[in-house]
Amino acid sequence: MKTIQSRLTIAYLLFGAAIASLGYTAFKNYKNQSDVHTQLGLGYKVEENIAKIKKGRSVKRARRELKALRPSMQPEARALAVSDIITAINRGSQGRINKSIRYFENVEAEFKRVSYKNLDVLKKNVEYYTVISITLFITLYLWAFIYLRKSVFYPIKRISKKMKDFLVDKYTYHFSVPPDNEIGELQNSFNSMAQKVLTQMDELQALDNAKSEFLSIASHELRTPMTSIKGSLGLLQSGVTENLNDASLNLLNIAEAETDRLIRLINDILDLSKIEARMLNFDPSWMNIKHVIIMTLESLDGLAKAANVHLVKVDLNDIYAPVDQDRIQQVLTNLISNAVKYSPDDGNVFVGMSFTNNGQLKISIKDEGVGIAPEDQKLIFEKFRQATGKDNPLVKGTGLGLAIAKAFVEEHNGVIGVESKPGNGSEFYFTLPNWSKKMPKEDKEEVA
Amino acid sequence: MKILLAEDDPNIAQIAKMTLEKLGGHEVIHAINGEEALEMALNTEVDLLLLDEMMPKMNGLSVCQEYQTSVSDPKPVIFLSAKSQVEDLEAFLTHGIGHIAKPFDPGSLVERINQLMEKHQA
Repeated sequence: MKTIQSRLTIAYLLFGAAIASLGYTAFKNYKNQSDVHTQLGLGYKVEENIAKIKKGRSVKRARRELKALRPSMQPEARALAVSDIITAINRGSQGRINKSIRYFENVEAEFKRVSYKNLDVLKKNVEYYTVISITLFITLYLWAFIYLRKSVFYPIKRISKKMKDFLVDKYTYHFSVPPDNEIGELQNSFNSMAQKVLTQMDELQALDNAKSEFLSIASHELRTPMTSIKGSLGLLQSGVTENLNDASLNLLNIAEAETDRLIRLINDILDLSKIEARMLNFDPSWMNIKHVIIMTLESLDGLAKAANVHLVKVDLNDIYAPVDQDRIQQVLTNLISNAVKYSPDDGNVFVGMSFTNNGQLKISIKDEGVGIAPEDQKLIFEKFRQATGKDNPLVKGTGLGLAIAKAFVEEHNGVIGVESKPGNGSEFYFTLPNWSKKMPKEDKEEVA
Repeated sequence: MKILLAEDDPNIAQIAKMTLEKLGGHEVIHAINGEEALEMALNTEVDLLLLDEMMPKMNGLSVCQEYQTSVSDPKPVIFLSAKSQVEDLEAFLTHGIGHIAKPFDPGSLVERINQLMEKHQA
């Protein structure tokens, strides 16, 4: 696989080696250049001393300096020529001194001629190698920039766009042929992942459809026989057939009450299944919660009167919240009718509003009933659970009311709960996190 | 009132017919499926159509739509249904004047029909 990493590595190694060797050559040439300059400088110093010797002034000192310069002289011929001058001075023969000086001057002239020629070459070499290494460096830099743009940044942008499209359900399989590198691998992995997710979504959709269909059939198949049973009982009770004696009427009443209970159970099960299948449209709008509570209380007035229980409003204020009215009414109905069911004769049910410590709106329903044992307090919100201890007479219900209320409250991001001490009544409450003291302008209140 | 009752379940049909006749004092003609209901609706003069939604051959909504497009002065339609999904209820209200949920109580069936008719005529 021609990976991006291997390409970059190879490019950096090759270019790096080339730039290093060229740079080194440039440096070598520069070094030689400065060596030549040093040697020329030494030559000038020798010539100064020779001038002194020619004039016969401070010859001893000049000889000492020549002796000091000699070891550094290059090439060897120049050092030997200087040695000759020193030897001649030591012997003290003027002729020999002159001869050795002439010899040195010849050697030095030749050296200068060659050196100046060499210096030209060296100078050109330094420039040449420096320019080539800088050019190579810029080329590598530009190539890396263009290569990364083309093979890394653009493809990553493209894949990132595909991912964002996927999130908003606009995913298409129209991907270019994946390049044979890390980006291609990323593209392939994302493609496989997206296809897996889509396949699973299709499967889930199919399951969801099957569940909807089942619910629809179940509703029909369960409700059809209930319709006949309830209708027959109702007609018998209404006396359309003939007059029935009290015992028969009593039996009919029992049959009808149990039929109603069965119908409620069927309705609750279907409702809960629909909530769980998310088939009920959640449609919140800003409502005055006080009005919703009062409406619910009015609808439960008959039930409360029949049980001789008093519904008492406590601290109800105009507070607005975005709620699905039907569901909040259902929650209130379930909680208040429970409170009525478990209330003693001539008892009170207090329906109030307050705020929690973390600023949520809290609606509470307090009764004066027998209360709920701590171990039952969590269980009652589960499906088909009712507190049925020995102090707590079995009250007829489906055991689904609180489960439905919990599901609805949680759809509003609220919390449902209960506080109770056995023998001391129960306080059921639920919270709504989003509320306001004024109706937001863009929503008009819908009063049913 | 003369009511056309379309209901495929014989037991429910019998109970509804008895309820409407004995408790409501209406005259009832009964169709056992969608096709028969449509034929009767087009050929018989009635005051109200009471249509079950789920019927063999033709469902209640189709009968209603067919009937309303074929007749110049269609009579009001009320649906009887065990369906309670929001979309279904919306369709019932668009095409008919209302909906009565199954299971129904005989007394309230008569009452609800009267209510819906009064609301419709108002």
